Amino acid sequence: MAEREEVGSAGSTWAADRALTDLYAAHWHSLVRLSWLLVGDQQLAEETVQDAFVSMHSRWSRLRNPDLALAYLRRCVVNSSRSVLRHRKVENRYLSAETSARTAHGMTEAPSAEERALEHATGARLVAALGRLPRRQREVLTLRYYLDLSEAQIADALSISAGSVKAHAHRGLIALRSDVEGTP
Amino acid sequence: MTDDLERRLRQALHREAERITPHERRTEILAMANDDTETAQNPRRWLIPVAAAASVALIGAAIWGVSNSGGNQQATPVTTHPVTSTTTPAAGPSTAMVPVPVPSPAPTGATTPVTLPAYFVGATTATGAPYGLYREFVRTAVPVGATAAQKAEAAVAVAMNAQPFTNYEPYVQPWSGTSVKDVTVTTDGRISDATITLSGPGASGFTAAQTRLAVQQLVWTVQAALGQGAIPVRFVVADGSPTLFGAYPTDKTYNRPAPELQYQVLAPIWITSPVRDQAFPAGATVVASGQSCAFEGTTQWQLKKGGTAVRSGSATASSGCPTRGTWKVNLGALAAGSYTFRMYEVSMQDGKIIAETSKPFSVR
Repeated sequence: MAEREEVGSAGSTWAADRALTDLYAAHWHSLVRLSWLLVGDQQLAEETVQDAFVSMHSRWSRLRNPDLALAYLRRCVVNSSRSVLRHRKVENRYLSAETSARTAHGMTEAPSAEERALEHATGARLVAALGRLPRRQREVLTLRYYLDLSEAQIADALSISAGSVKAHAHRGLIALRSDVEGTP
Repeated sequence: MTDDLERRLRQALHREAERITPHERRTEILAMANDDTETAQNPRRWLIPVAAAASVALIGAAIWGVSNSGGNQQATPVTTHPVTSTTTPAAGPSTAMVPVPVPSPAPTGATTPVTLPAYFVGATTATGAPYGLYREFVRTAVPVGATAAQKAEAAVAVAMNAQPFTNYEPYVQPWSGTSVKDVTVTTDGRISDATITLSGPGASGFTAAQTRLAVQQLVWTVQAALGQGAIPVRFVVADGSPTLFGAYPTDKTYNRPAPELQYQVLAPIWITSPVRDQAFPAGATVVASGQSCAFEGTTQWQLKKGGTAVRSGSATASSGCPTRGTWKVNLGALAAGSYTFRMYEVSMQDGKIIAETSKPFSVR
């Protein structure tokens, strides 16, 4: 007859489920949207973040801390989003897309002329310009201005130094301003 | 001014991000995390189908989803082979989450809701046989702090009672009159096997094909609940019966089939989304998805409204049989109403429908 399982193993699984559930509730939407901003495809963004959560669950026994787990999720999402672009060779297409060609299953149909005009006036150009920045600058600015992460958090998510974060952000903002405002 | 640029950039990014509404995937993620140890180790399942679909992915249309199916070693309820690794047949919930009463052996005290995967034996065509396993994600409750074995016991209890589903799903009840008394596991660093103790050997009057699947049903369910891959499963019958259904010895261990043989066990077509009676908001894009094991991965679909097919087409899964693949159909934005999504496979030999399943949903 088999022995009863040890509590530790089951408790760990249970804790991982709980952690996953809590982190999902708090961060699923923002992480999917982060990935969407990076890859421009909702379906892939969801799958990227889904895989990150599954991976986090399997490593919970080592993470054991929601803050560490969230940092791990961010790293996974950024790295996987980057892989998506690399593997699918869509980066060039994405970068050259003045107007969004994003694939969003949750979106309604194409925006109306009024909506398009409004978007154009309020930020579409900025988003398009962001897409034309070098990958690292785009990632830094997205993490900074969408998730409002600190330099240290961005450095952790991208596995670079805080100094590099500062440099990429500075250069990225200068390039953005030059692009959308025509000023050097 | 840089400050103004930063403010505008922050606003633009938030506005851009809010153009999408992420779909609910919590159940799917939990299932993958607990039902698919290999997925956890190698979560890039999408890379394969993504590569195949690269030319269309960013342009719009449907994105062929996650592939892979899995499972492990050994066909049918016979004996156990050494276990290597596990992939599951699925990444997503197969049907609606149906609330089910708390399983019987729940100790007194506080309980907590949990969603568990459970497998059921069901007909794979409208006319009945053949049969296969379908997976449901069932919402039930377990004691707070339940062990993995207790969760597995709850899942087995759910799987043995198909009654809540039989009004609308083609499930049979080979375990009618039988209950699970206990699930125990052996651990050696990780769970290495499981033992299910049943009150009896199973109901009579079922075909050999159905009882074979009934044993597999419990094997898949307990393995999924434990989340440790295709571990061997033993059965003990409390009344001392030496066999299940008079045919399957209890002195042997059982396991799920090897991936290339899982078509012998799993129903050929699963619709994992929409789930039964799911309601979509008007204007939202409806994407049907699921799994199939079909010739060249090709299946046909119909969208019915009020009993009339309003749209139809074919879908190509990420893999063709014997490998189980996944498929997606982008139905676009639908007008308000009640719909049924039907997926079926037509025999290349005689044009007959050899597998089908459907799910009703609505747009409001």
